[in-house]
Amino acid sequence: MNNADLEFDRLLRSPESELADAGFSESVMKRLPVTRWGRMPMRRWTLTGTAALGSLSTYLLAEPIEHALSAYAMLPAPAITIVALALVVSLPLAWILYTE
Amino acid sequence: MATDSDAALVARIVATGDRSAFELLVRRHQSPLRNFLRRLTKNDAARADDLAQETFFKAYRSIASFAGTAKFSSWLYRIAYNTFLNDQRTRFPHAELDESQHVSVFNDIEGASTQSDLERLLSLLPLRQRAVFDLHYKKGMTHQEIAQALEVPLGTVKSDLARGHDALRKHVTAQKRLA
Repeated sequence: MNNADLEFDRLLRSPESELADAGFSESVMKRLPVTRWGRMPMRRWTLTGTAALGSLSTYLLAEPIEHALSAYAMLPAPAITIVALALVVSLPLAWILYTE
Repeated sequence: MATDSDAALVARIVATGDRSAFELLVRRHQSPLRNFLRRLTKNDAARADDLAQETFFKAYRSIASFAGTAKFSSWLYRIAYNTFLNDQRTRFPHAELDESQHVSVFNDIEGASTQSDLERLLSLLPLRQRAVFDLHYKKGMTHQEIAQALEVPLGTVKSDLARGHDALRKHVTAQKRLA
């Protein structure tokens, strides 16, 4: 390699100038689409909170509801359980079918 | 977190959706990526920045598909290059996008003695050669990494480098002799 070649090679390999960010990254982050990755933490907390609230409600309300049902219901307890289960399954299913 | 590797930041984004980890990646790669796109767009800074933004959006949306077998930067340059090609086709739908063409227009410019002269010379190279030169000489990527980033065979990268290098060097040497 002669001097001209070395000089040319040096030019090619010289580091490029660093471009100042000047708000570029901020602009990217502001316009970043919300993806399922972005929603993940919120979804996790929503699920945890809903489960905790459901457990607490069951613990507090199970006994009064049972008393009320046994006092007023015309149906026997197994029948009420079956109806309740059917509602628990069919209502969300109906909602899903309706919204899709 | 600022010292975390790219792979560690990507893992954090995929696991927890951590946007601040992605912001670190953007800040870390914005300058080389924008320089790369400026070179492809022949120094159209506004267009290059728009393409860089789009590149980061696409990277964020599909970050879960980043396998981690290649470097994050190689993956990012692949997205950027494809984004640029799509944009080029949209802007110039009837233009031939023949990346293998070899341009011989070096007679119009004087020999390169400064960085800006060299930039002018590089801007006259065919599109893919420009990308290959940038990734090799400015980003320090290996032939294999460039082949992965541009999705071309390894031999193509080597021949692009050799042909472009020879053409540029001959021109510069000839001009120096004349001077």
